[in-house]
Amino acid sequence: MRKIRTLLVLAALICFSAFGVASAQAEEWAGNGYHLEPGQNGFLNRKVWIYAYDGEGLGGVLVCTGIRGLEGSEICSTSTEEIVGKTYLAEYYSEPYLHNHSTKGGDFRGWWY
Amino acid sequence: MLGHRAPILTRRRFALVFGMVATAGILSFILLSNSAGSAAKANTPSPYAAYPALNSTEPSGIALIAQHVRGPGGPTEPTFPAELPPEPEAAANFPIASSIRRVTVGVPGVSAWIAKSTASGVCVLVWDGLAKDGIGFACSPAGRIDHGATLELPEDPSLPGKVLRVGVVPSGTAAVTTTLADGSTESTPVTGNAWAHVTDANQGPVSTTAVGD
Repeated sequence: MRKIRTLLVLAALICFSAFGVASAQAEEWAGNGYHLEPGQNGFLNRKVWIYAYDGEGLGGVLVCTGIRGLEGSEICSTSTEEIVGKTYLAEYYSEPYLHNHSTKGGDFRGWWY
Repeated sequence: MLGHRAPILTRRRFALVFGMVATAGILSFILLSNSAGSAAKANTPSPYAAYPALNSTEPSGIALIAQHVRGPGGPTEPTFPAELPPEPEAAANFPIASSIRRVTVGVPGVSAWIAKSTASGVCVLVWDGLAKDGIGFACSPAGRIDHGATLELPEDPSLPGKVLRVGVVPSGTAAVTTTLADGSTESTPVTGNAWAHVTDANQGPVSTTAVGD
């Protein structure tokens, strides 16, 4: 009986961890009016395992996006409504960020996966 | 009796012949419609006709991968995800891995590629040649294939103190003019749909304009 209970607990743990990994595979972390002033950064505010990210400036603003603390990860758009992103072979445990690259405030979208 | 059966056979034969003719007619109509459609499609230029670089048969040099390595561990060659992002909104405008083709940009150590996007646009992909670094990309707004795409790398470790801009533009664009912070302009020629511009970070490139032939 104890063995069955242990097996059930183990199975539940495996299921939960599997779902945990699956649910952490991708996320639109900025959207729905995510607003940044000129020159302002916006961070996810929690660390995740991340191998790719992208961002978009809405309504005539330019976006930069990158991984906090990862040298050379920042990339920027040079015209509005372009999507910019970066993909790595490695997964890094950090947080994505967006940066308003324009001289006016605007809304942004950002994803990590 | 015989006199009574003959009209039935005739009627059956007529029905058989009529059925065959009708079937042949329907088949001909379908075949003709399809060939007319194909001919129409063949006559409609591909929206990507302005990007002959996409037709290159040269190996891209990018390894398409399905798995990512958890924790630092640099690739020795550029890699790109074989699959689209699992987040549908992110996948809505993303480079199509199978369409990635190499372009030449003439900046030592920097590799660049062009690709179709899932939003019927075009993308530029850039790798700085550093083993640990990833591939950056920019994709044109959805459906705006005429727009081209440009990626800016403001703090690339392979080019300290510099800002690198790499772009793809449609055929007919001879050069790209970059306006710097002090108002001066620099012209960069376009080769095979691609261009690249390097400037000092303190010059802060402000804008880029495509110039036709």
